[in-house]
Amino acid sequence: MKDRIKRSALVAAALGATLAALPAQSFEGIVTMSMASATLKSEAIGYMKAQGFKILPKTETGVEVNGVTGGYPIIDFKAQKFYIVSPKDKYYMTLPLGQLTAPIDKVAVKIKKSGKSDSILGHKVEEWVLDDPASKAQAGIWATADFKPGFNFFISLQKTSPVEGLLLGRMAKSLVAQGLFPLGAWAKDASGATAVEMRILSIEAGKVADSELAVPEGYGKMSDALKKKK
Amino acid sequence: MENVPLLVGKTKKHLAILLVAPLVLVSTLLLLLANGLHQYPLVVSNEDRGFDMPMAGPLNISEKLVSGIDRKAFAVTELATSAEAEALFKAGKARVLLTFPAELTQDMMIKVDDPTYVLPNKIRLEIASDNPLARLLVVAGIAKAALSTMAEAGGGLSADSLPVPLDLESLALGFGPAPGYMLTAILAFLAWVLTGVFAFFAISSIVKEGRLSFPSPLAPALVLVLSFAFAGWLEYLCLSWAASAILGAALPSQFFLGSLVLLLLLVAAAALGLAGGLASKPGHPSPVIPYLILPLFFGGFLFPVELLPVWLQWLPWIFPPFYGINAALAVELGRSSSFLPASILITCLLALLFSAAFAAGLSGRGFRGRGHGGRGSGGHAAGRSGAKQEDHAPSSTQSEGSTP
Repeated sequence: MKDRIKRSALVAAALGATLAALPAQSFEGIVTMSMASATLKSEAIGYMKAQGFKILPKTETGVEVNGVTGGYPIIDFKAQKFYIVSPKDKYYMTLPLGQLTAPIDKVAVKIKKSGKSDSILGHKVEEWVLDDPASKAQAGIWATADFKPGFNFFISLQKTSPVEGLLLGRMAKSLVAQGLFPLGAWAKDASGATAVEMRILSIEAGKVADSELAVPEGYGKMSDALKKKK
Repeated sequence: MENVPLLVGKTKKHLAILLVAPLVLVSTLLLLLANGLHQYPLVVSNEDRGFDMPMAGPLNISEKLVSGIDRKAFAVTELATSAEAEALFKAGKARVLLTFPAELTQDMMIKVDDPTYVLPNKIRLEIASDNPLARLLVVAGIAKAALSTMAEAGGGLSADSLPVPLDLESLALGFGPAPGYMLTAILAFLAWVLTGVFAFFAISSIVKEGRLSFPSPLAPALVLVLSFAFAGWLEYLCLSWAASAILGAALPSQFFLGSLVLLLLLVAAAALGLAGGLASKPGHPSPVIPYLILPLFFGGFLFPVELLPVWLQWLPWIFPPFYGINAALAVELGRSSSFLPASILITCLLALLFSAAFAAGLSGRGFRGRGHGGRGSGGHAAGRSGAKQEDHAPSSTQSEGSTP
């Protein structure tokens, strides 16, 4: 079941939201990203707006994780809801957002700059790192000050890997609070092997319609659909 | 008390035994019982078809929960249908029945999406034992499996990050309260111990004072055994009613009928105490007293047999209360069991066996006049002779010189 939940949340894996109070100039636009872990290898389009975030898989039916296809996530920060939308069944499932944020919010991590800097998509990035003595895992995030994120969209990276993904989620929370936008991330497990990789492939600021961050018209609640089938 | 051959005599060695024995007993108990259940027989049927969750693929919560059951604590038998599982459970071949309905996972996902949804089909858990400790440990074992399922589903992070409503609402517990089980169990055991110990001391006193004079051994054997047993039974009735009134605990509906079964055990206790008291020597530890007391821990009614390591789970079988008290409680609580007739029969046989041993002791074949004098042609003569000698003897040293 771990895999199952991982997959769903994985797809959610770019979702996020530690909703710090949104600054007026919070980034609004569309990003494409790649994510890879032991259980996931996926590319997706992210629609970001102050009050919402959607990860749309590059296939029509949904993100493919370990051969399982179907569905995509939407986060509504205002309502504090997390939706899993199933185009195949034309229904959606609702979860409290707190279930995703709780593991990240429980622990505050102290991150530091590694001193390395680089350029991603033409934006200057600096590397922030974390050594976790408990798990002996290492994680790093390349972040830029060129955009101001409205939320922690790494929130679901925890699902890509229970230890390393969670570290990245906690790190990103700290960076978002400082007004830094993550453009790339990596995490290594205790053996030094790469456990999670995430990279923003493109970033385009612009207006995102509210309808993009809403459940499509005509979709019903999953519970209602299943009750009818009984 | 100086002439009472309890666990201890007058020597330092015996005093040491008195001090060390409780420590050894408690340590042994901790070692044996501290690891929880061992191979408690559980039958499970999982008919849950699972659910194809968006973005997650096939999910089967029941499957995960079954795989999370501790196979050291439970001897798990998995069957395809709940009817098969129930049949095995009713046959007494499993003490725990655990069934998962066909749409459990799907219903749980509906509940995640709609928290007001009431699960129509629940996990069914039935426990055959009336023992509260056994029930507690079984429920704890299943809860542990459920919690590990939730934690795993949450990505190994924490249970609260998982939206699977594995809570009490999803569980249908199939046992009702067993009113007064512990009360009657403890009082029944108290009656067993007091009857045996009192008989033990009484016969010692009778022999010592030389008041043992009967024309034949059979009559006194019957009179003494039945008298002590009846006294113990009356004491059990009085204590039960008094405790019930004081504690406000209702007595089981078949209490009186069950107490008649217990009377059989008390006959065995009285005969055992009398035979033991007759055969013991002053100043020497008697195995009878510990044999009367140890079933409290290893008799299987206070602590479940399955708390013992598997290789020791036969231990309760050597104690009469395992049969007598469990049979009496089963009758009192109206629990039918295939083992009930056998338990009653064994209790009867033990009562006869101990009574015969006591009668044999009185007849003089096995009778030792409190450590003196030996075998007389008549029990009463031997008793008198022994008593007279003991009156002038400083106890243990002389008793060591006596010949049984």
